[in-house]
Amino acid sequence: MKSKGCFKKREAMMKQAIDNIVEQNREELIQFTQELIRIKSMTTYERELAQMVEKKMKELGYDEVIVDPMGNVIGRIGDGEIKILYDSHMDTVEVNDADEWISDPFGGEIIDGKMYGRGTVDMKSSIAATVFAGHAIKSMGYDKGKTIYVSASVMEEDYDGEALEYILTEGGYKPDYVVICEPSSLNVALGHRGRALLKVDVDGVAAHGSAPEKGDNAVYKMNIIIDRIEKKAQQMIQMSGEKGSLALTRIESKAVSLNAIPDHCSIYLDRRLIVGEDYRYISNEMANLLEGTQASWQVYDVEGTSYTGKPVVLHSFLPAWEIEEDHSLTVAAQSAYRGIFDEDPVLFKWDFCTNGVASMGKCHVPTIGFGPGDPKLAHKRDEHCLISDLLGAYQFYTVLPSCL
Amino acid sequence: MEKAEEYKLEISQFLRDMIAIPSESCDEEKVVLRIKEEMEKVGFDKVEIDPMGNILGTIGHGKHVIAMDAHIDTVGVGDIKLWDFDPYEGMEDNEIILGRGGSDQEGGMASMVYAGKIIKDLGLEGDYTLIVTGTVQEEDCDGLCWQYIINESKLKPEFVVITEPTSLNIYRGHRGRMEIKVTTNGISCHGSAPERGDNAIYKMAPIINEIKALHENLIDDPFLGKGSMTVSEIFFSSPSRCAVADECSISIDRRLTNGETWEYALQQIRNLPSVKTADAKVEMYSYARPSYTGLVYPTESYFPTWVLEEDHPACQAMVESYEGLFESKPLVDKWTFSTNAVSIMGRFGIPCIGFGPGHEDQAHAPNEKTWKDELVKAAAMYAALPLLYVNKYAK
Repeated sequence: MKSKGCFKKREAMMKQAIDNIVEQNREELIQFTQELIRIKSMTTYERELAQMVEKKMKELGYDEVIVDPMGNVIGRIGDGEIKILYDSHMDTVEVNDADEWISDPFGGEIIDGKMYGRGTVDMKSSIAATVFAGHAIKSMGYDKGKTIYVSASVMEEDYDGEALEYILTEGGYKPDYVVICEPSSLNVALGHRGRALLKVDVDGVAAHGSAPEKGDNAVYKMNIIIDRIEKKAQQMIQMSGEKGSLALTRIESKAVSLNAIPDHCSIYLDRRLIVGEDYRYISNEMANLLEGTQASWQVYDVEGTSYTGKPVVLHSFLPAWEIEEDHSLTVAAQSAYRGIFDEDPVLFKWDFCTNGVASMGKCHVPTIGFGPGDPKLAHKRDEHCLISDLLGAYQFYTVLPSCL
Repeated sequence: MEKAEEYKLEISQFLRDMIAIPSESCDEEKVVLRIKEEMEKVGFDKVEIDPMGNILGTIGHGKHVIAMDAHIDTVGVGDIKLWDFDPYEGMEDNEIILGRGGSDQEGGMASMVYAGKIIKDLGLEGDYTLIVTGTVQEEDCDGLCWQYIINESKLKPEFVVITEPTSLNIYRGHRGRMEIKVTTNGISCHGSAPERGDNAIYKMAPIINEIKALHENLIDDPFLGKGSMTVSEIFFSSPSRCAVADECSISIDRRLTNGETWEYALQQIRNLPSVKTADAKVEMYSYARPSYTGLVYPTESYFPTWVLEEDHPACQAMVESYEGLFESKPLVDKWTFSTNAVSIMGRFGIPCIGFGPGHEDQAHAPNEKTWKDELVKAAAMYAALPLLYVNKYAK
């Protein structure tokens, strides 16, 4: 197979070339990552960061750089037949405990070979590594017969997958392969469970609290459903093998006054999905849970607006995805990894959601995950990324296209 | 009665003035000042406003202390679209007065002040001191004002007439109530791995079932009927949007009949098997909202049941006054809602008897109204009652 041999043939030469590229660009790459860290880019506030990414892509000689109507930055290298898209999201979660960090969360300080700051792991190191990889691919001629798209997308933290789905549908990009560059400690991620946020509503009849018999208490009606959900959740826990899960996360009631019978009750369910648990499957499951009650359910939509003013709705049904171990993309990733690190990569699955729900879950584009940084440090105090991870990912992204 | 009829115009005007001044709970200062002006005008012997903001007007200097109470706060107007006219501007014709507070219960205040005037005009004074109170925050926390008056102002009347609307019937009790909170605690975890946590909402579910069942099995009372309990609210807390809830609470609206105390009602819930299994916390809510003067007088949200025996002198005197004035037999019954008597009689054992202009079903309703002839008749009753009581029933 071509991909297996891609490195062996020119092994020594390529290794030397890659080492040279890393050596030449190392300082600039690290510096750019630090610059990205120093710009705050909470979800829907990515404008300044996007401008910086756009500028850097242009400086590095990208063939085309576009900021789409949602605010995603997409750079292109080459115009070959085989199309590969690297995706990193630009937004980060907030910092509420800046005083307790060992280093300024928006400083990008390097201590003992680790860069500290919000987004070092999730996922500005990935943006920097992919942006520079595009340049390296071009300068090494790896773009021959390939088209490389580097996307820096918006609003992942609260709207998982929506931005990438937009790029792949309305944006008109049709890659053959997608690499989700979320942190993986340089292991190769082959998928993750999906997630559905569901809301269940039931109405009652209001009445004054002194005469409960005149009303129909919505909390009592919901209680029957809660009991069924608990049993169902327990059943799922008892199952063996790969499995979904069901968590009741919120409950609320509404009443006309404090002394009135509630006429509405809502609960929210966090349903983790495995491959095969699609919308139809969940519809059946919910129909069973609500059978004989007057309750209704829906997928919970989260509405927002991107920094460009474009309305974005997260329809919270995010399907699970997985890619086979012998898929050509997986094999190419293993080959690229071996060529750089002289060993086999660890294959695993993420335990969180990524934009992969859009690329593979919804749009069925073969997808793998690979990124710098330990995913356990995401969203945490003292978030940091090893400089060696940043450089390793840079090399991996540079080499991967040549293995496909 | 004739004298009262003469004051129909003044009573109506005074009531309309009060209606025109919005006076929701904790914002009653302006209406209190208007009442003070009217009390002084008609010749009360003394008019005071206490530190909580309650107004107390006195007629006479006799031995037997009798009080008559109207709360002068109102509820809000609710959905303004349901009103056919401005709730504060109000309106009137020959028979009725409309506006927020007409029945509940600035009407009672208007009748009492003019009862004071009638007593003075007709020389109905005797060996009694009549205290006419306009009290605050009743809609928010019934009876709190009288906890203050009894505890802090050391006022101990022989009985208190509650002038909340009774359609001119005589009411001698109502059910009490309390607000209870039940809380379960669990262990939070990420929504993707519910098996690592212990969901507080699941722990609450069997408690709700048992509370529903307990409601069906509460004790009965021949006069007041059964108590009741219902879950009025459910809420939770958890560290993030996609985490298992580590705390869940319900509020219970508990109506108490004769013989049910707060200890009894709390113990009843604590004894539920599901509450024991979940080790749930069962407690009373409390109230600590400052009055318009800024005074904070914290109390438990417990409003005890009260019933005055039919043969009690206060009830007998009321019945006899009624028969004397209106030449018919009164209906002696009970309120459905709650009044300041929850503290006066429920907590302190001071006898209460209810008689008031306006109708209970007008309370809190849009297009609230009251009836002018009831205002006049109530004024006559309030003027006649104290002298009849001291002459015939007081010891």
